[in-house]
Amino acid sequence: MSELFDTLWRFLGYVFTGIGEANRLNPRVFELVAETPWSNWVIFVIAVLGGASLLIGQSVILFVNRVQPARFALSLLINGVVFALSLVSWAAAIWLVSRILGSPMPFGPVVRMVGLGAAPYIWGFLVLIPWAGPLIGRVLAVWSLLVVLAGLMQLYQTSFLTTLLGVGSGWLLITLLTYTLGRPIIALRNRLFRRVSGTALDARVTDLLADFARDDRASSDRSVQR
Amino acid sequence: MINLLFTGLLALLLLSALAAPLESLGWWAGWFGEREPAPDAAGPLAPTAQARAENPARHYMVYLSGIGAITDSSLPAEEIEWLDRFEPKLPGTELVREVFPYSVTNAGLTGNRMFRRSWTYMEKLRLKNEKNLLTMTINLRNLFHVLVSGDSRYGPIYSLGVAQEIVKALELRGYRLGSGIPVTVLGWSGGGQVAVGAATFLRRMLGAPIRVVSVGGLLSNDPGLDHVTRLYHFYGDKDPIQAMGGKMYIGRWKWFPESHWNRAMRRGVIVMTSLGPFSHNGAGNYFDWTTIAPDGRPYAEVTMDAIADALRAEGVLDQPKATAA
Repeated sequence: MSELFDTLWRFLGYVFTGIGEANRLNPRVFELVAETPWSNWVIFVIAVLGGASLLIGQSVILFVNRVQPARFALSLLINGVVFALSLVSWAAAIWLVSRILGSPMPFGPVVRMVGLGAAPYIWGFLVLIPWAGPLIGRVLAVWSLLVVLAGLMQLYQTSFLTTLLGVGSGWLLITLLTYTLGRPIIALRNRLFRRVSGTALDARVTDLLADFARDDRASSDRSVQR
Repeated sequence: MINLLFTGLLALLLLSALAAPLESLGWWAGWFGEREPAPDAAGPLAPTAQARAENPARHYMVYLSGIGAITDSSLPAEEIEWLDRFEPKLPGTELVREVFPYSVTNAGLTGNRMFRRSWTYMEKLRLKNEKNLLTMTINLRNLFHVLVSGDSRYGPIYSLGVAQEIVKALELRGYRLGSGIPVTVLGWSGGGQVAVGAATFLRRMLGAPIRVVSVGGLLSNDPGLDHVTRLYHFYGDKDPIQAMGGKMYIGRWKWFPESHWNRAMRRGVIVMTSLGPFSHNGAGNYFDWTTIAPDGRPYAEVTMDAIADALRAEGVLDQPKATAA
């Protein structure tokens, strides 16, 4: 039993070392993480934690839809996994672009580097902070991009602009795919979220204004306790 | 030691900031706090309110305190004195003070909540010495609730809760929903923003025109501005806190002409009035009886006269009774 705890403790140590070094934009972060045992799992856990933390920051959507505590916790976990998978698809796009541009990068290292890019999102829960939260969210997005850029530049000894072009094109490609070929996947993801949260997840804060602030009495039968 | 203190302070700041939206969101989701049906016109009145309802006032004014409030009645002494002396200047008006604006359930800090003991201790400290630095935690906690009110992600939920509590307090003072009797919400500092937010829902809940009076309020670009009949913002030229609202909330910047704030400004809904070189806190603030204006009136009186004059001009306040010569 104590051996299991010891292993878990060491694993968590690798996870937090990875997060710390990535957040410091240490260009050697990839090598550092690669040297650790279970490096793929370490990166996966970083991505899941980042996704879960970010959902805490953006949890207003869950609260507005009155997701109950147990389902709320499950939604965080699922969002972490979905977030990790979305990073894999972004990495695939970068890999594809690198091949199109004639300087192919091997898939594995790109995936792991993009996964490490989730490290700043460990602070995603701070998006919850009133007034400053949205700005914090944008800072984290830029920080995450910088982690990926710094890592890939070090890994492939490319210039900042070339790496930015590759990463940016990859992002554009994935955005395009999201709205075209990827629609069934997005629909599947949304279905999964609805299933896990136990609600339609269709209520927005702005609906409150429409429901309770309208001056006409047409919807007066609706009450706060829906 | 300094490092430890700094880390503790930062942790406290962070926890307060994170807890503030969760209180409102958790209430809405039914995780904690009570949730009641939204009040509606012609609903039943509590028996205690029945007698008052038979002889209602011509105008109701709800007071929302600044961020120094611990409960609806535990306010900084200067606010209590100011309200006591303001009430006689409001003929025909029922002044409602029973709303704690920094909670969606009207639960004061010393009420049934997790850190009740800490807040009770702070209250005792403040009673001994109003300037005790530790009591600033009250202001900090409430400040984050003002930011929740002004944040478009959480504001409507927060405002709905506060609006419900305002309606309940009004009913207890004999206000009958749907009667059309005008209501003014007077908010000081953070209470000004909470008042504007609550106005979003009050007009429909009460079926009456809603006026908001902000005294040094930190106002955001709130959708409530679409629902107020008039917003009077009284400010001091030496009050940087109320001025921060214009910088912090981009919807108040002139480059966004279609924001709630800028549309309300164009429609003439917002009336901004400088009271003079008033400050937000300390000597020369809006409730100060010792600093005297050039016309010989104390600052506290200048503030109350300005509010009463504005409401009288609107016709919601009776003329003051003539005093015998």
